[in-house]
Amino acid sequence: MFLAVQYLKFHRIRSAVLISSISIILFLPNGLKKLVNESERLMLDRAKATPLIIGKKGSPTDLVINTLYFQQEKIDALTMKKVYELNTVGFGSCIPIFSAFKARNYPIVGTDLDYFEFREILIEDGRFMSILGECVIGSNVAKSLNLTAGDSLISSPGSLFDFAGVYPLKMNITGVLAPTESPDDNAIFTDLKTTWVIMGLGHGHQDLQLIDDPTIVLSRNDSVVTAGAKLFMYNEISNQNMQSFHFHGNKSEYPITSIIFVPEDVKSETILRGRFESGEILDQAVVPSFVVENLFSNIFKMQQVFDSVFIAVGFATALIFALIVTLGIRLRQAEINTMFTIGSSRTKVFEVIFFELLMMIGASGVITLIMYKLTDLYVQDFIYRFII
Amino acid sequence: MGPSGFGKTTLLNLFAGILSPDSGKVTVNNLVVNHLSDQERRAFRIAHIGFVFQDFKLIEYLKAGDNILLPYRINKKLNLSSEVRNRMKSISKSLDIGEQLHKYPAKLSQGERQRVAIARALINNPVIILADEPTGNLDPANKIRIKNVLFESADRFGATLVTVTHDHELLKGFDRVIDFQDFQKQGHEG
Amino acid sequence: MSITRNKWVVFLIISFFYSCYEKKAEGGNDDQSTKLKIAVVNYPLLFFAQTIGQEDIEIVYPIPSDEDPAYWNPVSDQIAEFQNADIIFINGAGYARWIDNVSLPASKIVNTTSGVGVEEKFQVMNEGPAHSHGPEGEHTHSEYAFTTWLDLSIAKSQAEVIYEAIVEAMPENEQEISERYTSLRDQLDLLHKELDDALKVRKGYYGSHPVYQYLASGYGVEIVSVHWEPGENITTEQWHEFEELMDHGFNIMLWEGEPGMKTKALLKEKGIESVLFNPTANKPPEGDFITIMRSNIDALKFLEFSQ
Repeated sequence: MFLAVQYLKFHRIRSAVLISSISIILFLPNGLKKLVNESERLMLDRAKATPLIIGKKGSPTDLVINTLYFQQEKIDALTMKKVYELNTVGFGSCIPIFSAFKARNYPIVGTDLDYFEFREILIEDGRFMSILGECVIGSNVAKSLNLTAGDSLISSPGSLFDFAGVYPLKMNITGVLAPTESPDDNAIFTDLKTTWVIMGLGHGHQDLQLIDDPTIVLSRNDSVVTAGAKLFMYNEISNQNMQSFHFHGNKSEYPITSIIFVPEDVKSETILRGRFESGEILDQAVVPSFVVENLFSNIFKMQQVFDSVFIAVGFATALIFALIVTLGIRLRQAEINTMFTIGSSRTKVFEVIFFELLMMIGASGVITLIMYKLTDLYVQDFIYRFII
Repeated sequence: MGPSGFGKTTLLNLFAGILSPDSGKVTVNNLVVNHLSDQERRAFRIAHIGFVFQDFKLIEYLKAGDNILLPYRINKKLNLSSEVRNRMKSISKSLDIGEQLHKYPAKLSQGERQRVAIARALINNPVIILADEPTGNLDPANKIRIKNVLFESADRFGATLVTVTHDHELLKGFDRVIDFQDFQKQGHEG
Repeated sequence: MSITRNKWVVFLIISFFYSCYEKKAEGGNDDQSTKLKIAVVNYPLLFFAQTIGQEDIEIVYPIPSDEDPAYWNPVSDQIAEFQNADIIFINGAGYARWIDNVSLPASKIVNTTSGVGVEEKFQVMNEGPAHSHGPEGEHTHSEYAFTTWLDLSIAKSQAEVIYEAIVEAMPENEQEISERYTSLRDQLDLLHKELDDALKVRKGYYGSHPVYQYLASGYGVEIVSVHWEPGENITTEQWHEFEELMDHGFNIMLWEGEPGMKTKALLKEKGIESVLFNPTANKPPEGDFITIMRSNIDALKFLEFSQ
């Protein structure tokens, strides 16, 4: 054993490479399987907790991914008209979602306070939003950006859709949500109306009746006041200017990305789905769990291919390993002869080599186990951070 | 002594019990070596024989100190006690390699490597030191030095030094020199 | 022995009082947990909800009595009270613009004027001049008139919506709730007829403030309004503007509150009587919605008899 240890120490780089290779080959198939299985479990848990998603006709997968995991996949927008229509149908209640903007790379999710009750999300610090322009943030957002209630966030200029204008808004953080171990931890939530302000459908500005500056008020008569681009639009909503905020146009035409529909019972859900499928109600209603299961059945097919590849790679690695060992023995012939001459058995060196292999495989096994353990501990975080 | 191919190394291997004669017997220290089993011969070598090779034959991945203790690493019957370690240090000091014990062979000079090999040969208190061309790979200065080391070690530890060589300078100082060529002329087969 | 017995007596007494306390506490909790928490945005809705729900409900109405609920703006704590209610009754027709700028759970909001046929009765009212300041071009911040309850047929619809929502939330009390609603509905029906009779004797009225649109639309009379404040004397400019409206020839001006003496006298000189017609947007210091509306009707009838 001492000789084996010394050998491995002396050839530490070679030993490390071999141990790493074996560890990776041992870990990868099961590690990948664990990642896929855990992703499926988490995604499916989330999907099963959401009865129905209504959206514009298109890719059901994109609709589900946008709504459940807040990955802003390109989908066509619905309007609030659909919410009003479904509310009158009477089979359940609607929770509108408008996820088209980001702040510091985290998605801004415009929704209703009902969302938090539906998801059973509690506030850990602070309170839920009260007025326009306020937001609450998920626990991971708070941690990674080092933000808390009382701080603020500015929405980014870009958006998921090709809007004519996007108006960055400074949002006041009123609360941090309790950890949910779900995509909610990585999102910024605000009132639906606030996202419409970001989109420019609502705004606040100085009262035109009170402005004399001719560079702002371009013309004025009894019936019309025309203001120029110099008119200051508020980019932050406070108690002082909140009363000036107003919305233009018909709210039923305002956009949303999807609706989480919570049916009263299974029968209501079935009837409603039937109406969508028959075309009686336009657009699509998807059962998220069906979509996710379908998605993963395709992934599992891919995984079978990967498994075959891993077996082949593993076999090749084993062959290379055997070759390395054989060559090593050949190179160590002089060592074998020396030890025999001095007084060891002919098999002594083979014992040493055996222990070397045993230790390398043992070390690989330990590293693989550690990697499995780390995977167990961090796979959820990894999935939420990089996959969903 | 003798030129290459005359069986000098074979002779040493016969003494050590590594090879067996086609006929006759090899008696070392009143022990008929070729009548022993493989295991007994290994035990005999470990207990009584110290080897010094022409190309040192140090193990590259063992430090000098561990090379010296190699016999104790490869044979379970030998107990690597603190007494042995002390003896290793003492022998190293006497061979002027006491400060090199932590170094790998690649970091040692030729002379130092050979002295480590000699120390390895001496660690188990051998009765006989078999040296196969011990100065073959050394420069002239080191040849003289190693020769002196061998003689001093043999004297200090009371071992019989048997060497095979074609280095005439090395032969001075030996009690008996057998020239293989003369031996052959006299009709004695190898 | 007697010490042990005394200990047991003390223990039993303490246990008795403790169980009484627990029962009381539990009972108290029961009371709070079964009461429906209802938030409303103005007094008429408060009156309807209270009349229909009575002891089964708890009203959330943080609006001070000296403020116009239509223009009141809540602070965070007050918004939280609304958020925590079980049902939030709003008036509809754009009443209480603050609702557009706060976060309220949509599932709890009940629009009392969302019934079929009610929204068709909404009266458009332009609040400000047209203006433009961007790519959307010229627009007005025009809104509907929102004192919908002054048309008592709409008020009855609003009460019905409130009744249906309370019954849905508390089906176990449907019988009592229905009885109360029926009584309220009958009162509103009676008032509606009487108001119709009282208003239709004239073809039109002046309004001191543009809050009587639904009297006009609901009862088929013309109401021409100015922007005068009760209790304040009108300016010369305001009087000149009014003089241009005198061609309508009405002889009654409706007031939300008691007009200033000088204004009253000026009007009287022109043959225009001032009549107090309280829209009851907020809690009255005395009386309730029914008694106030009855007073309004009586004031009109009194003039009819006296002229």
